[in-house]
Amino acid sequence: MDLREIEDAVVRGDAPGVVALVQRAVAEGVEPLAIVAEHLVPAMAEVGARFEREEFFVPEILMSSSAMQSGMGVLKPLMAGQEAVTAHRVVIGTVQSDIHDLGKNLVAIMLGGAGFEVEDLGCDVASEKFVEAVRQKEPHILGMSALMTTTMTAMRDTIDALAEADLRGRVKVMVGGAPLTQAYCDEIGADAYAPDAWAAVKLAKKLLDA
Amino acid sequence: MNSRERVLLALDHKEPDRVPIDFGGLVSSLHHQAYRQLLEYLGMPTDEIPIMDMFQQIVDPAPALKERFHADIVGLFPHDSSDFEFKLDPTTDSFVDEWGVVYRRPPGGYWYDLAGHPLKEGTIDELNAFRFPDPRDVNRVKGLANEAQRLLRENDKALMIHAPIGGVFEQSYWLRGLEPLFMDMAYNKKYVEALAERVLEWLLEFWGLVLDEVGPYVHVVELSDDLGGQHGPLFSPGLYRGLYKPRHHRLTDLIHRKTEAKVFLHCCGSIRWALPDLIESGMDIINPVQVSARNMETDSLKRDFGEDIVFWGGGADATKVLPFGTPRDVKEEVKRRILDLAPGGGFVFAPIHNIQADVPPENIVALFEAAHEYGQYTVGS
Repeated sequence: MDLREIEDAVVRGDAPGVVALVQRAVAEGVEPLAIVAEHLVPAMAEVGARFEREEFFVPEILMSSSAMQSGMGVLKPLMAGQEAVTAHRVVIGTVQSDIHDLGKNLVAIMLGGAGFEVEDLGCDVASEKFVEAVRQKEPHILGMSALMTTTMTAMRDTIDALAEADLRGRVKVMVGGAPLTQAYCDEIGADAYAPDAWAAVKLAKKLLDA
Repeated sequence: MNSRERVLLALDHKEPDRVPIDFGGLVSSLHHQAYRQLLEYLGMPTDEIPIMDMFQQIVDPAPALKERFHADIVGLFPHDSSDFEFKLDPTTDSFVDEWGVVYRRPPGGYWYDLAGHPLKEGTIDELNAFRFPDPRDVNRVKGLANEAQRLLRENDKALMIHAPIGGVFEQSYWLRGLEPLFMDMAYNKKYVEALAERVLEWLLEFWGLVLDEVGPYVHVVELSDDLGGQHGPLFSPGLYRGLYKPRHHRLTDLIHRKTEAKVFLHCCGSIRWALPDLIESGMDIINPVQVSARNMETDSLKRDFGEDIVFWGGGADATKVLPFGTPRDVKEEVKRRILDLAPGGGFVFAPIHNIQADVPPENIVALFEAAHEYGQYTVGS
């Protein structure tokens, strides 16, 4: 089979198509990790590129992401154990009192699409919950999102709480959201500021290379 | 020349004596915190801070302030329907509107967020069973014609009818939730269309009722339907043209049949791509002209579309200059926008959306002083 059909199906947002093609690839002996790394991940990169070119919009991203997740659903049980060793882990959430999540969801989608293992804590996440998640899951990156100037201050509280718990040095912190700026990121001692989901992917990779 | 004449000339793409100024409307007012700070700065009494719209937490500014800022437009609101009673839940700081949409303000928040949406399943059955509010409830227009006539008699301003409801797309996502509606756009376009049609039918009935009462008196009818984000369309232009544009046109057709007033569309974000379509679908005025969004440079917008649509807004960049610049920066920014947008008429000055809580009072004063000073035709002379 032509494995590029998997990418086409992801970009098309064809979840049943992705599932059928991934199952066929597995049956033909293709390694699950290779399917992820060489076809699913590049497909989401293409989705991101089309968004940047204004050919795709949020509905198309949600559709492609859903298609990719369907493919991952087939492969995950086959990769159990392997990906824990190779994947970089991200914990992400919208800060306390803030219920805006579309941007954060897009970041989670694109990071997942780029091969990161993402745990999404949802919205209105208290500092203590972020700290506990860092303690328990040991992510490489903690991502925090806020849409309001009144809620973004909770990011500083979380970073301080990580320091108090002696966890600050063990995780890279990335922040984003409409009121965020590089200056604020620097001020609160975060490691990176991502202005959008595509930048988040590039920055996440850069943070882990350093 | 009085305010009314000034506005009507501008809406007719002619140059009046100066650029008309809009201050204090549903999308041209200010947050109550900014208002209080401004009143204190100006030494005006602060005992009355009337909230005009709960969602946005904006005020109806004092007439003395509107006079000071040379506001040329006055607004009118329909009433609630007879079976709706506004109730704020103080424990969650939330309320529910007549559509069943939940709004909640976080602690310390400046305004309310959309926090709950009644169309949870996204099915045609659910839509068919959903109890829409009554668009023709007569309480909505009780005394409205008299009120409109009184406003026309007692002042010389132009009259605008506001309505704090969403447009065909907006009201769809207020009912369904934004991300669920985006998913529906991907997987269930038939549902998106069915929902759009139900919302349009509602709007046609509502505006029919309202304009039968006040159509002869108002000069501007305010519609709202955000299509853009910071960088471009919120969803594909193809979908907008297929589903929403024809419905916008049906709505403007009704409005133009019922009144000589111009149709004002509030449409945030990067929307240059949509202007030819919006013009074709009967919109006479575009607002707020969000200059910080992509492709929204005021000089090229005026050059390419200035003869075909009125620009209402564009007063000063609201992301950097108005909140963080000096008063002098604000004045320079206003001067630039007026030079771009005012020539040939077809421009009403307004802040780009409501002025937010942290805008310094001296900047607000500078904004309107500059609008008056630099807005004298012939601009730039």
